[in-house]
Amino acid sequence: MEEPVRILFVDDEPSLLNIMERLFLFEDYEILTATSGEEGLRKFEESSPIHIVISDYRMPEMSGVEFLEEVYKKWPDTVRMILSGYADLDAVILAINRGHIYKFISKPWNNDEMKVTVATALERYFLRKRNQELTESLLQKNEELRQFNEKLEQLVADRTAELMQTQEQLVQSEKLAAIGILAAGIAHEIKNPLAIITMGMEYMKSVIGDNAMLQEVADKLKHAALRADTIVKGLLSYTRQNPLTFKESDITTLIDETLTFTEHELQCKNIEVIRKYADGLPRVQVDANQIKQVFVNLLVNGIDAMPEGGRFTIRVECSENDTGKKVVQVVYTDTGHGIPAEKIGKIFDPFFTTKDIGNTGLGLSVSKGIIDKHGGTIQVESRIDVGTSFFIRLPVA
Amino acid sequence: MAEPVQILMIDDEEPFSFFVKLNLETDSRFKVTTAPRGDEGLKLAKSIKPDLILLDIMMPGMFGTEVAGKLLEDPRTKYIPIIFLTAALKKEEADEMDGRIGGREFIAKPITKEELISRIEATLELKK
Repeated sequence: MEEPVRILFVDDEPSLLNIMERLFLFEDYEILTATSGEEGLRKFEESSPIHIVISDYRMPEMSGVEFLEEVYKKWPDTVRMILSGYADLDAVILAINRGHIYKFISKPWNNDEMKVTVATALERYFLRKRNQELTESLLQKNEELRQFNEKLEQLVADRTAELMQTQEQLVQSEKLAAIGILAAGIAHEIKNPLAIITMGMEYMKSVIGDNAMLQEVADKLKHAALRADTIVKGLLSYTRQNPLTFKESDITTLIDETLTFTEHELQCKNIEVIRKYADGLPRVQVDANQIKQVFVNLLVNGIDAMPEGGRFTIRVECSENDTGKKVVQVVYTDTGHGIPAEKIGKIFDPFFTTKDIGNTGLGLSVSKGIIDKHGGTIQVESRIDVGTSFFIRLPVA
Repeated sequence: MAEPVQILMIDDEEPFSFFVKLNLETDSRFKVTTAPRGDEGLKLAKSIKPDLILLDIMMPGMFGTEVAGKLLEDPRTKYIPIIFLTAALKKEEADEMDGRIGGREFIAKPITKEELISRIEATLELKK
């Protein structure tokens, strides 16, 4: 139902109010009256909205202009008009010029003119209202468009990122395929001569007796051959696509086992190990051997990063991944030299290494491959001369 | 002193066989005969009846696995233990090879003298 059109008349002269009421008796308006500005404001409080207010200028206490100023502040939509004799014209014109009063009606007024004036004011009220609504809806539409645009941009950005990731994965798998062919091809060819060198050196060692210098030479040659073999093995392990054998395991047991392998080396290098395992960790479905290979790789990297000794902190805790799924998080933090920012983006790439010769640059790449196959994630954070942290998240079965 | 253990080594990498022979024979418990090809190795196996055969897998002509099959078919050679030697595989892959090499001993090249001797000792249950 449409709300009634309300008109408020304010005059300290009750007889004038009566006249007004009678004037609009047959119109479809709700006529309100007040004998002072204060009462007028109360009427506004009680029965908003009031479409039109017509106030006398001269009233005791609050003048008509003051009253309409108040109305303007609180109910700016109302069309404000003032009744006045010519004596007060200057004050009234000033108020009109300030924009707070729509129209001045001179006393005494002509009834027909009064009716037209009220009708015109009403028209103005509704036009303004309509205008406002249109503006608002336009602004809203504009905002909707802007949001839509934003969404679209986000969508495009997401898709682009997705595509780039896919492309990266493609490049990575192509790289892998190429390495696979290469590795399989050269492994046999290289391993045979290495086997010959190793056996030959062994024999030499057994016949050169206690010539310390020759023994040392033979040892070094033998080690070089074995090192070459390690590199070839690294290549092969990188390209091996064995299916994983998942078993429910306790992740901290696997960590402890790898620490036992590396215990000697950790002690020699003066590296302290701190274990912070949370209580009541859930078990995870993993290929224990492969996961241990990841942990060993991280330990070896950490050891290499702390040639002057340091501290390894291994934290295991329950956490959530980006999609809110429950995961077990393993964090390896060393106090080593850190990884420079320009290199950190590449550390999971095959053949990328920050170490000296004799390193395949496959350790982290292999590790990432293993974690990926477990449906987990591996991430790195590093600060120069502070240390590096690797975060592994494995889904809880 | 007991008779030395007769070992037949079949491998197309002659320098490797040569060095294995030199190394093993520094230990008076071992006597090594070498053959560069599968067919030649088979003949030698029948004539000298070794206590152990070291058998390369990837060889031209006849693969080690085929040689092993023929050794098994012959009653004169079927009980001779075999240790496979290969460069193509890693130790961890030995398990996957089970079907093909019959769960036998398996050594990935390269190998050190120590490892080789300990594997031979283990297979023959020799005491030092």
